[in-house]
Amino acid sequence: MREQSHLEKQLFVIGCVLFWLLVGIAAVLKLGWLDRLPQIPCMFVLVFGMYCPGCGGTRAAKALLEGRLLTSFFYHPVVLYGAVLYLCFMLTNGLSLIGVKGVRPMKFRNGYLWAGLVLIAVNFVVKNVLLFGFGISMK
Amino acid sequence: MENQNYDQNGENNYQDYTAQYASVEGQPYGQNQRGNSTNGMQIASLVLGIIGMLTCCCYGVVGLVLGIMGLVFAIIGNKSSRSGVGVAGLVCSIIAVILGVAGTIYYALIYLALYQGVGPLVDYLQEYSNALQQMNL
Repeated sequence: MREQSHLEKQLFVIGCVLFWLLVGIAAVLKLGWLDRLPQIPCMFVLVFGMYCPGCGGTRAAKALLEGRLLTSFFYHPVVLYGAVLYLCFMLTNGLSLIGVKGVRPMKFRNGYLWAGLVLIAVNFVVKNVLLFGFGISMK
Repeated sequence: MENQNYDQNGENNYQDYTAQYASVEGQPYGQNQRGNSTNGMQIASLVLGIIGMLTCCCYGVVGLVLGIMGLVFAIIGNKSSRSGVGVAGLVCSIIAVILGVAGTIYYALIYLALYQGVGPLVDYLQEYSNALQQMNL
């Protein structure tokens, strides 16, 4: 049990560091700096002719910042999943660390990583089946 | 014959003997020994490596930055313990860095071909833009 709480503390500190990276990404998306870059075709699509496992991630992040949760889930489910997981973990562990009573800190489980990988794989399969099977593109 | 575990004052120097023995072997006993449990740095390196691999198509730079961060976390995390997650994080981060570099170079060449009309990808881009229109992507 002592080893597990040490792991959560380490992850909490890393989460605090990564928070600033997320703030930077949010600023780029919210301020529209990405729209000023030239719209270049995706490298993966050009080379392989199919959508990559991360396809729709940027659009999903942008939709999430605008509060459109269902749209974000449609573009790429792992973005919403990761955001919910990150918020729950940081909130519960942060409140527990500062001594707030009644808050049960979220424990890390390997299953969370596996669930994320499954979501990425499902997104990849579904989008390419829709493209090649039904002619539905993600534009 | 004088007992080597006791000095002239009769005090027990067993701990000194153990320390000397350990230092002769080159490593203090109980210190700097890597365990097998996963630590937070290794988990973070795995997550950043996977996300870096997925985002290498985003102009290459995003994947490169995440891959470098994952690599740093993996190196720091693997120093204190050795586990499968740490090795996987290191491998994923290295792949993310390679893909990020490739993506950055690729997009730089595409930009030169599209907007400056120079570079080795001008004809390549024209051919594939026609194919893209046919595929309705």
